[in-house]
Amino acid sequence: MNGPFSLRHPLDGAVSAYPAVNANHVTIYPEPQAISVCALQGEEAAVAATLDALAGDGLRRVGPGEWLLVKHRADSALLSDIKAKTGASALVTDQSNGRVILTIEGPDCRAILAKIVPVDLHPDAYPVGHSGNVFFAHVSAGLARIGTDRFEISLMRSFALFAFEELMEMGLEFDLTAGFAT
Amino acid sequence: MASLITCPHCGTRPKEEFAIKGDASRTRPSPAASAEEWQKFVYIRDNPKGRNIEYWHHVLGCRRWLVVDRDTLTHEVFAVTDAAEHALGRAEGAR
Amino acid sequence: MTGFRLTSGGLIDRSRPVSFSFDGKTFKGFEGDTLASALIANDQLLVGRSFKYHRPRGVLTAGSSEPNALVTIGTGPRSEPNTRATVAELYGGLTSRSQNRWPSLNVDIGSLNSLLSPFLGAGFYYKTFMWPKAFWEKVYEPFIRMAAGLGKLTLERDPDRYEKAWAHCDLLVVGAGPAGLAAALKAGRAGLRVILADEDFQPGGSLLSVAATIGGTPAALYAKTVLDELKSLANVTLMPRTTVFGWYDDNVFGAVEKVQKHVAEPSHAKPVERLWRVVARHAILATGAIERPLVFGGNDRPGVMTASAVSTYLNRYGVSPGEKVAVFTNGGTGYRTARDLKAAGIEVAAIVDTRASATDRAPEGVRVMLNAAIVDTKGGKRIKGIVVERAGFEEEIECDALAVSGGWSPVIHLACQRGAKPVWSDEKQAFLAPQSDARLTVAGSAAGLETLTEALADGAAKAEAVIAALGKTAAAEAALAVEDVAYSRHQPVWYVGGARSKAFVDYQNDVHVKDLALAEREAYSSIELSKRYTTSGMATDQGKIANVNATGIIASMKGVSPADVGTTTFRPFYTPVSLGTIAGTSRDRHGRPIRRSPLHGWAEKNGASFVEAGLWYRSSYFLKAGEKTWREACDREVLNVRANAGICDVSTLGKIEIFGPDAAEFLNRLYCNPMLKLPVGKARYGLMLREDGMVHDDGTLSRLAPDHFFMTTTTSMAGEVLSHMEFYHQAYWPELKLRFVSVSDQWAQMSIAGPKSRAILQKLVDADLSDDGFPFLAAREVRLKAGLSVRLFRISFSGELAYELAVPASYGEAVADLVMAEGAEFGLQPYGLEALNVLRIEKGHVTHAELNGTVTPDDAGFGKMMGMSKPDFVGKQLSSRFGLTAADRLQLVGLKPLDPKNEIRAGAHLLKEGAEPSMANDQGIVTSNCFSPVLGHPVALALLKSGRERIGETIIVFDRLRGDEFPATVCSPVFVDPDNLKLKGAVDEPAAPQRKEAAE
Repeated sequence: MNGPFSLRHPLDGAVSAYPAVNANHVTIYPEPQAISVCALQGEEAAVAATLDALAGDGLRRVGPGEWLLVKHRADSALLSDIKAKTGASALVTDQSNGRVILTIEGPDCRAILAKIVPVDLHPDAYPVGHSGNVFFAHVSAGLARIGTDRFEISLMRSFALFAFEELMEMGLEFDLTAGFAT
Repeated sequence: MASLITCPHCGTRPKEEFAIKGDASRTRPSPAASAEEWQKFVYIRDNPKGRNIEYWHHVLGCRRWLVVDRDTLTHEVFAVTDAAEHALGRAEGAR
Repeated sequence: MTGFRLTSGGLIDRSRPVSFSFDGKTFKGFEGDTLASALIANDQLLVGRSFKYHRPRGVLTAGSSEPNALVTIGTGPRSEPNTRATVAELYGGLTSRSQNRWPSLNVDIGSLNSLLSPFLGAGFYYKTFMWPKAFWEKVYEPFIRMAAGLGKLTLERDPDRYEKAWAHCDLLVVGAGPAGLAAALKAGRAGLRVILADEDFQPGGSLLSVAATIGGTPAALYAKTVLDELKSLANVTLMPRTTVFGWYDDNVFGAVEKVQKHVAEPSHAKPVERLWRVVARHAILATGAIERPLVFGGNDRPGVMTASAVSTYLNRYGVSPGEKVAVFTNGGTGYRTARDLKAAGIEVAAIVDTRASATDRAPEGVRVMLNAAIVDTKGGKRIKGIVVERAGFEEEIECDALAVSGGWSPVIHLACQRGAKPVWSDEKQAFLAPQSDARLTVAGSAAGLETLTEALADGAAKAEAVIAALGKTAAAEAALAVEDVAYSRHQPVWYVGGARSKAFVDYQNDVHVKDLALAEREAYSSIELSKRYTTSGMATDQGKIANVNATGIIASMKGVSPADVGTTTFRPFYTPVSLGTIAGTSRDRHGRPIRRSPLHGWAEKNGASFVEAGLWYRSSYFLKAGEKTWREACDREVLNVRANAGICDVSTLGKIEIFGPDAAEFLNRLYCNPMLKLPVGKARYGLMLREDGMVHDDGTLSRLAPDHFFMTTTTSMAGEVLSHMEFYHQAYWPELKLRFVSVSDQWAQMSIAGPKSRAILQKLVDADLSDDGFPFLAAREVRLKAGLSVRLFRISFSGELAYELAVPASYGEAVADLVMAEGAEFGLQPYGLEALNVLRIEKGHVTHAELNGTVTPDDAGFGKMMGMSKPDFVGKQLSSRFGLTAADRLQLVGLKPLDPKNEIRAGAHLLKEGAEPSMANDQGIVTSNCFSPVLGHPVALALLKSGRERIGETIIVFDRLRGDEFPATVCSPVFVDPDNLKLKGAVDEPAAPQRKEAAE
C-alpha cells in the first residue's frame, strides 16, 4: 500500500533492556490506528452515535465533542469509513503516526501509575471503560482503563521515549518489563 | 504540592494540568469601541484578594478553557464552567 | 555513671544485634533501635557541639523534635548531614559522625566561643560585623560560617533514586498513636479508603512507651493487634516511615516516605525516599504532643533529657540514660517517668517539683522536693549533679541523668499551615489548633487531651464524624477499659529563676533566656521579630522544643498572657525534606521532558550534532570528515543549499488542522493579514498579533479545501499559538462553527531547498512540479512514486527554490533516506539549524530573535500585509495608536561591518557616530548575526530607530560587555537575491558561488 518504506517507531531500541515478559508488563503496539474526531458544535450527539457504531471498545474521550479512536492494529479502512460517515460534521485527522499506543498490565500497574499520574485510579473512581487525557510524567497522555489491572496509554510521539523511560523507571521495583506486540 | 480544580469535563485534577490566564470578567470590546475601552481591556488589571473569576486552561487534559470562580486567598472554588458556555451564557444574558 | 542497656524489656529485637559506628568507634545495638537509643545504650551521651558556643550537647528527646542530636549519617556521596539520631533507624553498617566540632567532639577549639559569650548575644552579628562593609563577604561571613553551623554537605553526586507518587483516600490519619490507631480502625472497619501515615518505623506512638494496659493487654501489644487488623483490610494503607510535612489547598497533603534510609546499600530498584501527594477527602491529625523541657541554669548538659524521652528509652528501647536519674518537673508526667525508672530498677535521685503541692504519687522510697527548683547543673561533658534551691537553701544532689518535664505542646503544625492562628488555652496551658476547615480535624493529645482513655475515644469519635459525613455508618463498639495512672496537670513555669549558668530556650540555635531579654529591651519583642533577632525557633527543628517556652518567657517579661504574644507562623515543612525528594526523577537528562523529532534517527545516522531548542533536540549541523568546527560544517551546508540543494528537518514546527464552515472567518480574525480569499491548494505567510498590536507568531496557512486549513507555527510558539486559538474560539467567539486539532506529532516535515530541489523531488513525486503545475506557494496532497500520500508545500525560508514535504511520522526516516539517495547525484546534503539560521539571515527573514514581543508588523517590514480594511482581527484596534505608528520606532535593517574582520554580535547596541554611549543615545539593538559564507563577511539584522530611512548610514556597533565598538553600514535586511529570482525558480542554475570548493 504505502510503498517499500520501513517504519520507524519512536521506541525502537528502547525495549532491548527488558527481554522477559513479567507479571507487570508494558506492550507497545508497533502499528496502531489512532484517529482524532472533533465534532462541530451541535453535531456532537450525532457524531458520538456514529463513532459508537464504528469504534467498538476503542473510543477514548478527550474533551467535549472530541474523541480519539484507538485500535491496537492498523485499520486504515476505519479512517475512511469515519470520514465518510461524519462528512462535514466533524474534523477527522489521522494520528496513528502521532501517537504511541501502549498498554500496561499486571497486579501492580496501579501502584506504578500512581507515580506517573495524579488521578485517582481506584476502580470506583476510574472504572473499566473510563478514559481521558491526564498529566503523565510531566506531559499529556490519554489514559484508558481497559481492564481491572490493564490500562491503555496514548503518548504524543515526540514525548514518547521520555515518558516511556519514566514509566519503566517507576516500574523498577515491580520488575516491570516491556516489549512490542507481535 | 497541589491545588485541585474540578474540570467539568475531566473531573478533579491538580493545578499542574492547567495554565492560568487571569481575570475572566473582562469581555473583548467590539471593534467599534473607544480607544479607552480597548486600552482598559488590554492593559488594566485588578489584582483582587478574595472571590473572582479567572480563565484556567486545561492544557494537559481536555484543552478546554474554563472559567473558575475562586477565592484567591483561600483557593476555595465555587464553580467551574466551560469558557464557551460562559461566553454564550453571557451573550444570552445580554440580550 | 553510665547509660546502659537493661537486661530485659523493650520492643527491640535482642536476637538481631547490629553493629554501627559513631566518630570512628564501633558500637553494638539491636534491630528496633534508633541511633540515639543505641548510642545511649553504649553510654555515648555526648553527641554534638552546639551551634554558636560549641557547648557539649547530648540527646534531649526521643523523637522528631530533637534539637541537639544532629549527626551526619553515611559516607561519601551518601553522607547526609543534620540527621536526627533520635529518629534514625539503626541498621547494620550504619556510619555516623558528630558535627560542628574541631578537631574532635571531646576537644573542641570553638568552645572558646563560650568564654566570649558575653559578646555573642542576640543581634551580635548584626551589630558587630557592620563595618567596614567590604569585610562582610570576604572576612566576617566565611569566619562565622566556619565557626558556627551544622553539618557539611557532600559535594558528590547523589547515587540514589528518588520518586514522587500520588495517593487518594477518603481519610488520611496522620500519626499512628492511640488516637490515630483508633481513628483508622474505626474508619477502616466502616469501609473507608484510609491511609494511616506515621513518621516512625514502628507505628504505635506513645503506646510503645507507656506502661498502661488497654482491654487488659499491654499498650504496645494492643497497638500491634490493631495494626495487624488494619493490615488485613484491603481498604487501609499503612504508611510507616512517612512524615506528613504539609497541608495544602484542597486537603492535599505532602508526605515523605523513607523507603530505604534504613539500609546500608539501597537497592537501585527502589527509591531511597518517596514524595507523596495525598489527596484526602478528610484528614484527622493525631500527631500527639511534644514535651517541653524546663528552662533553668545549665539545662543543656549532656544527660538532661525530657522525661517522656527517658520513659521511651526505658520502655521502648530497654535503655537507661543513667544509673541514678533525677527528675525535675512542674506537673504529673515527671512522676510517671519516676515510676518507669523505678520499675526498671533504676535509682531515682530525687523528684524536684516546682509546685507547692502535688497529688501525684511518687514511687516508694523516692524523695520528693516540692516548691523546689534546679538552678544549676554540675559536670562537663555529661551531667554529674544538680543544684537544687528550696526556700532559700541550696542542695547539691548527685545524679548521672536528669529527666525534665515542663508541660506538653500539642503538635498542631499541619493544622496551622494554611493561615489559621493557634489559640492559647489557659486551661491546657497550650496552643491549640482552631477548626479552620471541615475536612481537617485534630484528635487525641494533638487536640490537648491528656489521658489515654480520652485519646482513644477521641480518635474513634473523630473518625465516626468523617464516616457520617461520607454517608457511611460506623459499627457500634464498646470502648475498651484502659488501666493507667492518672497524673495531674502542669503548672506553668516558663523560666526557673536564679539560674547560675546559661538557661537555654532554643538548644539548636544556642538562644538563652538573656538573649530573649535583650531582644525585649531592644524592642524586638514581637514574636516574629524576636525569632529573627535571636534566631530562636529557626533551623532544622523550627522551634518544636523552643517556641512555646519562648512565647511564655516573652509573655512573662511583658506581664501578659501567652495568648497576647502568640506564635510564629507555621509553614511547611514539618521536618526537613531532602532536595533529592523534592526533585524526584527531575534531574540530569530528565530535568525536563525531552522531545524528539521523527527524523531524529535520520539526523543521528547522518552525523548530526544536536542542540536543545525548547524541549526539542534539533539537529544543529552535520560535520563531515575533515571538518573540525560547527562553522566549517555550517558554511558548507549554506553554500550547498545556495548552489545545489539541502534537506533539513523542520518537523518541530507546530502543525494545526482547522475545519468547519467558519474556519476561514476564524483564521481571518486571528491573522493580521487577509485569509478569507486564500485559494484552495495555496499557502500564505501569515502574522498573528497580540491584542496590543505586537507580533505574536508567524507561520504559514494552507487551504486544503474550502472549509479545511493546515497551519504551521514556529517551533517555539507551537503550544502558545494553539492555546491562543483555543482561547479566542472558546472564550470570545464560541458562535463560530469550527474545530481544530494539533497534528504536530503526526507529520515528519522536511525542507528541501536549493536550485536543484525541484529536480530531486520530481524524481520522487508523482505530480508535475513545474512552475505551472506546482507554482510558488502551491500546497496540496501528492503521491510519492514509491506509493505514499504526502503533503507538499512550495514555501521557502532560505530564499531558494524550496519545498516542504510532510509525511506521516513513522515514514519520515525512510522518506528522508529516499530523498537523500535520489538527491545524491544533485549534491543534496543535510543541513541543520545553524545553516538554516544563516540562510534566513542572508535573506532578512525574521524569527523570534526579531519578533521579540515589542515588534509590530510594520517594524519588521510587513506593514503592507496588515488587512486594516477587515472589520476585526486580533490586535487591529491597538495597532493604530500613536505609539505604534510613531516615525522613530525601531525598524528592521541589515548591518555590514565596515571592516569585514569585525563580527557584529547579537545583543550589541547601536549608536550614532560620536555619540556618548547612554540610554538616551541608544539607536537600537542587533537581533541576529552570522558570518555569511555567500558574501564572505559577517552580517547582522538589527532593529534601528527609523531604520528604513537610514540605509547607507554609518552607525557604531557598541557592546561594552564584550568590548565591541566599531562602525557598520546600515543596509537592506535582504543580503542575498533581493529580487527573489531564485525563490521563484527563475534562476535554476546557481549563481557562481563565492567559495567554489565548498559547493562540491
